Amino acid sequence: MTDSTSSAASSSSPSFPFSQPLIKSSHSDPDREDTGATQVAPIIRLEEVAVLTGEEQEDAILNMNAKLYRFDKEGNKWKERGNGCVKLLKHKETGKVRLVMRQEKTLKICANHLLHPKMSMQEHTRNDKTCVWQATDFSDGELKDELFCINLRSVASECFFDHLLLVSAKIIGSSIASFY
Amino acid sequence: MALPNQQTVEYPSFKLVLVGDGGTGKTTFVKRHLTGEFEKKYEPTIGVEVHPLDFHTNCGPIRFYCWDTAGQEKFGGLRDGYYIHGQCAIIMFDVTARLTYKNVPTWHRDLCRVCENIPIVLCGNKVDVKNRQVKAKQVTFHRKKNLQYYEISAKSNYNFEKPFLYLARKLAGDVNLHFVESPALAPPEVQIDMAAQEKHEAELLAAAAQPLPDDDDDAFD
Repeated sequence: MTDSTSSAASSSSPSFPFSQPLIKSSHSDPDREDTGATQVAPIIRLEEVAVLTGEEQEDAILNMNAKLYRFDKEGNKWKERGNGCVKLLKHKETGKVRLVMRQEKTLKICANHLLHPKMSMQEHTRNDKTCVWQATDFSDGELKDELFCINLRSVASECFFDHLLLVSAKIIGSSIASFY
Repeated sequence: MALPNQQTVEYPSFKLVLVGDGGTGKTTFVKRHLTGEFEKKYEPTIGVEVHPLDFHTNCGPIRFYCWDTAGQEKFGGLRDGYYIHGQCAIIMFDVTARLTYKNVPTWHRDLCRVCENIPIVLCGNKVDVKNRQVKAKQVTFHRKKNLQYYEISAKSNYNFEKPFLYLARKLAGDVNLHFVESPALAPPEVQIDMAAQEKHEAELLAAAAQPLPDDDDDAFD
């Protein structure tokens, strides 16, 4: 692997078990016979599969980096939820808009919910670059009432909030009747 | 390998044993992956806690049953039962506490006594901390034991996906395996009545007054 740290001089490898200071030991390795132990064999064979994001029928109307928090109601405190790309996705046919966010690197879902016109939403009282809202979230494949707080890079926050409001009020407007 | 009372899945799953001294960040690392949260408060794990961790790859979903073990011996560390049928492992130490690195060979020995020839990742956690006691150059154990080494930070998420990616690649024998976007399933419609709406408003108001976790500054590092 490319990320391993392998710059130390091999001549100064420490002895094992560690009975001496790490840095200065320089004598030969007592465990040498154990080396080269493992070139592990795979235990499963996996075939490449088609990757579906679940977003195939939608257009991204907003896409930006953000840090997301969820409110732990039991502990009465905010907790980190994810750090990555947040999108507002509009369905090509129904016009419904949802918010989807994935954790960077692992690409796991950390938020996934429909936006609706009566969504409760406001600024965080101590941080005007953030937005707090209520949602019935489907990240884990079951609906959960959650409170989210999002912190966006730079000034983009206002734009994001405007979008949220616009989306809630107008774009989904056509499907309001089915809600209320 | 799932516990008897645990939900099994139709896709490939593996038992992952997570070991290392107490306080090196094993539970925090697992929680970070599970919920996204970063727990600062130290509560020693007692015995073992098993958490399923799912990842979506270009070869479909996979699951690690992560056996998060007690690092402190007085809380039941070093039980062979935790290692048995382990298919892969992570040994964690804390780069800000030299003793935790010194103990890595012991963890490795105990692990290998039960689990022969499984892929193992050595993780030096807390690399976000300024005053390290174990520098990258001083970490050499992985080379003589043919382990993969990663410097990680559960706090900043630095390399936090790498241990799982490495293990998945080894278990599948596929160097090209990579994580892909988890499918964002269509959320079902929700009916919102006035009473629920009012409750949400009140909760929101209260929550908006609570401070955010204080590490906002490094949010985008």
